[in-house]
Amino acid sequence: MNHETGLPWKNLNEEVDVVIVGAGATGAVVAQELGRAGLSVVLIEAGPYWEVSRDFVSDELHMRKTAWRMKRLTAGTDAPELGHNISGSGVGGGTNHFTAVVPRLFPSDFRIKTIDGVGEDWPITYEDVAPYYEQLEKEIPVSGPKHYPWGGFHGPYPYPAREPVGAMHQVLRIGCEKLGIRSSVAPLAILSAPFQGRPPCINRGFCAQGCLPNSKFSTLIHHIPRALDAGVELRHGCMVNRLLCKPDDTIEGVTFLFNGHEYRQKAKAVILCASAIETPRLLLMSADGRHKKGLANSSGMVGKCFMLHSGHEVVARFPEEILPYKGTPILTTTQEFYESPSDGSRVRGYSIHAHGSRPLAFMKIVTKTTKTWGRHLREIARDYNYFARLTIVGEVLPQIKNSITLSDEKDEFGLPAPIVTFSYGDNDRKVIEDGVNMCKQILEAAGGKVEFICPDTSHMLGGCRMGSNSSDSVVDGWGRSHDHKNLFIADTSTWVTSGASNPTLTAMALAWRTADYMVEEFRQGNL
Amino acid sequence: MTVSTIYPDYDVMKEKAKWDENTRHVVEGRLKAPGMPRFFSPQELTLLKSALHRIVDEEDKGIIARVAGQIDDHLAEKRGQGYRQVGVAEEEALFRLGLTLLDTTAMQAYEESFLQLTAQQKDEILGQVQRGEVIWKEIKPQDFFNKLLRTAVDFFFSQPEIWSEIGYGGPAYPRGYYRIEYGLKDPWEARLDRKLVAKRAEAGLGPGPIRRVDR
Ligand SMILES: Cc1cc2nc3c(=O)[nH]c(=O)nc-3n(C[C@H](O)[C@H](O)[C@H](O)COP(=O)(O)OP(=O)(O)OC[C@H]3O[C@@H](n4cnc5c(N)ncnc54)[C@H](O)[C@@H]3O)c2cc1C
Ligand code: SF4
Repeated sequence: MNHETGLPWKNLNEEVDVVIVGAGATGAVVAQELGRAGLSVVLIEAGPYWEVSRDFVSDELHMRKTAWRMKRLTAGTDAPELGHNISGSGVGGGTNHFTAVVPRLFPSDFRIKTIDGVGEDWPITYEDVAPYYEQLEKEIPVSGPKHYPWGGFHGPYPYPAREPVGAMHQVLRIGCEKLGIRSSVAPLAILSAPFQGRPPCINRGFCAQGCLPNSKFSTLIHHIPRALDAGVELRHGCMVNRLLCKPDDTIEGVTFLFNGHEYRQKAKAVILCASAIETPRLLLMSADGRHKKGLANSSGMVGKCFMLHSGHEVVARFPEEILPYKGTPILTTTQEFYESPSDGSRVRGYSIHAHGSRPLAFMKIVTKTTKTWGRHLREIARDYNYFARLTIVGEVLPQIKNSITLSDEKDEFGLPAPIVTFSYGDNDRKVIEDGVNMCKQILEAAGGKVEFICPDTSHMLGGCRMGSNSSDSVVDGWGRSHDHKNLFIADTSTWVTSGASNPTLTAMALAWRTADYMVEEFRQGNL
Repeated sequence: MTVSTIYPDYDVMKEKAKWDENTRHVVEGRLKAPGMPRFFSPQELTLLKSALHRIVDEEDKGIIARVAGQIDDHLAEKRGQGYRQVGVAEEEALFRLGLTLLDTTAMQAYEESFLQLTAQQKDEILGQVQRGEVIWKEIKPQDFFNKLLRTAVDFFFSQPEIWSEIGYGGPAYPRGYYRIEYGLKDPWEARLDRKLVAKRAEAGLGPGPIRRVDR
C-alpha cells in the first residue's frame, strides 16, 4: 500500500526506470532481467494474478477463464477464432495454458527472402538468438531428446526426453516410421525429472488448462516470483490504455485503467510485451495531435503484417482405443517438412505434432467440420476414445492486408476494440494442403481412417515488425522503436516472418536479448 | 438418449475422491439443479431447453435443465470469449433474439409454438435455421444456429454423465496417469463392454476387436 495515495502501488508518483506492459511470456522474462540488473521496474498486467492452487482446476470449460476475454472483432476470408485458443490474460499470459512445445526457429527462418525469395529477412540472425536459446533451455528447463534431427540445434536438451509417450503420440511415430519419415519426442518446457521443487509431469493431460503440479513451465511460476524477488513492482488488474509522448518524441510513461479510474505512471523507458494484438492496438490508441496514425508508426507498419500459424487438425478413427485424454497433449513431432521442398510445390513448410484432446476440443472439431447435431453427433461422440489427432503448425507469409486495426465498437474498458483481419495467401494454402495430406498419410500408415479435417490457426505474431529500415518496420533488431528512442517492444509482434515452430521459446529468447540491450543502454547513460 | 454407450459400467464420478478439492467443487457444481434464470426469461429458457433436447439428442430432462441453466449463468455473468466476426451479433443478442425468432418461425410454419411441435417438426425447423432457409431481419439464422450448437456442445459435453458415456477419464490431479502407451489402461479408466463392442463391429460400426486390457 502506498500511504500517500491510498492505492496498492508503491511507485505511482515516481518516475521509474522502466514500465513493462503485459506480464505474459515475454514481459515476465524482461521483468526478471531488468529487475536483476538493479533497475526500478513496474510491470503492469491487465488481467488477474492467478494462483495455481486456488484458480486452476482440471476442467476444460472452467479454465477458459484464462483466455483474453475482452471484445475483439475478426474479419477477412479466414477470420480466425480467438479466445482461449489464441491468447491468455493475467499474470503468466499465454504460458498458463500453452502446451509448452518449445522448438527453436531454424537458422533459415531469419533469411527467407534471401533463401526462398519470399517474405523478408530479419535484421538479426539465428546466431544472434542462439546464446539466449541455450540459456533459456537450461533455465526453465527444457526436456527433450538426446539427438534432435532438425534445425540449428541437435541436442542434447538439458533434461531427458519425456518418455514414454502416450498412444496418441505413438500413432505419429508409427505412421512416420512406416513412411520413412523421421519423428521425435518434442522438446517441451515440461519436466521429465524434478527441478527446484517442481515435480516431473504426471501425464494428466491438462496443459492447455493450466498445470496443477507445476511440472509445466509458465512465467507465472518461474519468472514472476524471481522478478518480484529482484524488486519488480507488479500491478495486476491494470489495463494500459495509452502511451504518453513528449514534444521531443520520447515516451513520458503510460496511463492505465484500474477499477474504472485512470492513473499515470512515468518511466525513463517503456517496453511493450502485451501480445501481437494488444501491442499494435495500444500504439494505435495512443495517437495524438502530432502522431495521427498512432505512436511508433511513421512507417505506417503498426498493425500490418500480422500473422498466425495455420493450425489445421486432422483426426482419424482407429480400430482400437487411443484414449486421447492421457499424457501431455503434444509429445511427439516431425519437422521433416519445415523448409522448401526441391520440387517447388510450395515455399517454406510446416511442423506436425501429435495432439491429444479432451472432449470439448474434440467435439469442437466435430461440430466445426461436420456441422452435425442430434443423433449423429452422439454417435461420433460415443467413439471419442478411438480418435487420434495430428495438428500442423504451418508457416504463413507476411501480408500487409493482414492487420490489427481499431473498430468503432468499444470493449469492456470503453476502449476501441481491435479488429483482427486475416486471410491466407496462395502459398499459405499450399503449405496447408501439403501439411494436411502428410497428416492423412501418417494417420493412415498407422492404421487410422481419417474422418475430420478442421481448419484452425494458432500463435499470434507480427504487427510491429523489426527491420533495419525505418520506412518499412516499427522497431530495430533490438526491439527499439525507430521513432521513439526510449520505447521498446519485446513480444511476438516484432516477428518478421512466422517460421513453422511454436514461437514462445524464440519470443522469450528475443525478449531476454532486448532486456540485456536495455540494461547496457542504461549503463551507458543512453536511457 | 438414443445412442448407447460402450462403457456401461463406467462412472467418472466414482473417482471424485481422488480429485483435488477445487476441481471436485466445480464438477459437482455441474450436477446441481439450476436456480431461476437470470439472463433468459422463463419462456426463453423453455425454448432453449426444447431446442437443446434435439440438438444433442438427449431426452433426460434433468441434464438438459442443467445445461440450459449453466448457459444462462454463462450469459448472465458474461463469461464468453469476447470475440466475434464483424457483422455477427454478440452472443447475448444471438441467444435472446434467436430463441424468439425460432418460435416465430415455428408459428409461421405450423401455427404452433416450437414447444408444441413433434420431434421431427422441431428438427425440420432447426435444419432450416441452420441452412439459412428462413429470413430473419435482426440476426442471421446461421449465426444463431452456430452459436447454439457450439454452446450446447460445450456445456453438454462438460456433464459428468456424458464423460462416463464416452469413456473420458475426467480430472486427473493429483493422481495423473501411469499407463499411457498403446494398449495400456490404469485400473480406474473406463472398460469396454465386450458384447456391445462385438455387436457394433458386426454391424460394421466403429471400434474393432477388443483388447486384452478390457477382457
Ligand atoms: C492454447 C494455447 C496453446 C499454446 N501452445 C504453445 C506451445 O505449445 N508452444 C509455444 O511456443 N507457444 C504456444 N502458445 C503461444 C504462446 O502462449 C504465446 O506465443 C506467448 O504467450 C506469447 O507471448 P507474449 O508475451 O507475446 O504474449 P502473452 O503471453 O499473451 O502476454 C501478454 C500479456 O499482456 C497482457 N496485456 C495485454 N494488453 C495489455 C494492456 N493494454 N495493459 C496491460 N496488460 C496487457 C495480457 O493480459 C497478457 O497477460 C500457445 C497459446 C495458446 C493460447
Ligand atoms: S500433462 Fe503434465 S505438464 Fe501438462 S498439465 Fe498435466 S502434469 Fe502438467
